[in-house]
This record gives sequence, C-alpha cells and structure tokens, in this order.
Amino acid sequence: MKHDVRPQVRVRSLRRADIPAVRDGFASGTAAQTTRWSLPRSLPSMLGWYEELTQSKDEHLFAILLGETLVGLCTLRAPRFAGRELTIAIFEPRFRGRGVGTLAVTKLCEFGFRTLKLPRIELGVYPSNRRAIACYARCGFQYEALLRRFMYQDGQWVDVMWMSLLRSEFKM
Amino acid sequence: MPLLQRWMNDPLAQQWLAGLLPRSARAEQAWAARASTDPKRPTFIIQTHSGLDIGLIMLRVIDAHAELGVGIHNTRYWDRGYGQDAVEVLVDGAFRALPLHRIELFVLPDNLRAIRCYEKAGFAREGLLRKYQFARGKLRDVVVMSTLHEEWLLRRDDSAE
Repeated sequence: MKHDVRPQVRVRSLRRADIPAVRDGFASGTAAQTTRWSLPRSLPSMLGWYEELTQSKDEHLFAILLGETLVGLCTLRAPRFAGRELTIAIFEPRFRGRGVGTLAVTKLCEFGFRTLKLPRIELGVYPSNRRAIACYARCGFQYEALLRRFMYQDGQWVDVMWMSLLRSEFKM
Repeated sequence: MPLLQRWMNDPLAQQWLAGLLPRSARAEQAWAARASTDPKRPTFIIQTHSGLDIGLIMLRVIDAHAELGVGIHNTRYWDRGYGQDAVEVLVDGAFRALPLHRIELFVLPDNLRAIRCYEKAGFAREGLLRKYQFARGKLRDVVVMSTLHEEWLLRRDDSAE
C-alpha cells in the first residue's frame, strides 16, 4: 500500500521559475504517451511560451506540487470548441494512480466555474488512457464524442475521446 | 452584396445559422472582403446549372484539418440535393488540393435535413458537443461530424472502378 500523498499536493499558478522543471518534465518523455507529443524544447523557447500564454486572459497555467517539488502541469486553455480546454500532465510515473490528478482537476474546475464563471470545461483524452478517463469521470466529466483522427501521436493520426463538464453539473 | 445581406437575414434560413445576428450591409461587405482574400478561408457561391446563386459554402483551414460550413440560403431550393452536391464537390476539391487529413462540421441537432445531407455526402456523426454555441436565444448543443482523408481515398477508388 503506497502512502497517501494527497495531503501534500498543492496546485498554484505557474511561475517563471517553474519553467526549467516543466521543460525537463516534458523532455523526460514520461508524459508523451498521454499528452501531445513534441520534440524537446529549449529553455528560451519554453520561457517565450510561458510569457506569451501568461499575457492572454484566456489561458491559465498551474503547477502541481508535491511538497515543494513540481510533479506536473495543468492548464485551462482557449477552447478547441467552447468554454475552456483542460489539460494535465503528471511527469513522474510514480505519482500516477494516487489521486494527484483527481485533486488537480477538481481544483481547476473550482477555479474555472467559480472564478472564471465558465459555462463549460472540455478536454480530450486518448481512448487507451483508462486511468485518465476514470479520473475525469470521477470529477463529473461526461463523454461527448469520439473525434476521429484528431491528434497526431507517435507517428500517426489517432482518435481522441472528447469530454465536458457543464457549470450546471458542477457541485460548487 | 445586397444578395448576401438578404440571405443572411432570411428568418427561415437563419434559424439554422447558429451564432448569427441579423447583419448590416457593411458587416457583410467586411465578411465578403475577407472571405475572398484569405487563403485559409476558401469561400464559394453555390449556383444552379442555370446560373442562379442560391447559397454559400466555405472552409476554414486550421493546420492539417478544416471546418466546413454550407448554406442554401435561397430556401426555395431546399430539398433538391444542391447542398449535398456542393459538399461533395468541395470535399473532393479540398482533399485534392490541400494537405488535410480531416474535414469536420457542426450542425444543430434538430437540423435533420442538414444531418441527412452530410451523411449522404460521406460525413459520420462523432458525437454531441454540449453548450457549444449561442443560437436562437441560448447556448445550444451541436452535433460534430467529420469525413477523413482515408475515407475520401476509398470513395475515390470505388468510383474509379
């Protein structure tokens, strides 16, 4: 039985000083199977990305911390369809399956519905990613569509499951 | 131009045009100027064989996929296959000319006429996006449909045999 890490989990706004850890997290490749694949990026390019997104009022970036260590990234982004799009990556495989994602998604939804007063939060997930789908379902997200050949992943166009949570469904 | 304005403000057609308020002539001019110059938004008039303008069809290209929009705005020409014809021609042209792997569209769930037309033109229903856009006074769900490059290849091979 792994010990419960949830009391140590915090979600807060991403800071400029977090960017090297985010860069290393993505470059480690541990999140590649469950997120958008990308080539490793340089620090200046990641800092540029951070500056650009933090200037937009439609984009919200958060660090997932365990104690003082950054273990993941979660965001509310300009939507693919409507509302805002939620994304999440937990870089350290040993912190998966332990409720960290569920906590982070819940925090993002609280922020999105209470503070931003969004009508809807949407997300895409690979159909093979059972653990993430279970996490989103636990948080109240409902299946909307199977978007065929929607993302380019590991060398081919793959299907993406689309889910959403409406403000009216969220328990404030 | 007055034609465009008349089309967009026709109440019968407008009930299916999600997210549109009645628009002024100037707004239509601005839209048309962009539609006719932006390579990411190829836009075409749908004509009958006798040369009558009856509707519009357009693509919005986003990276390697595109969103299709179509309307037979002269409502006397509904239910005659013009929409399906236009969609088939544009989808074929788009997959020939542009490096797209997928074309998608959004349609209000109660627009059964349009959904049937898209299905006949080769689009498959993928699901229902909830509270997607404002239409007829409130946030509405929309059906998302798509056709894939690989399906277009199969259709093309079939028709060549």
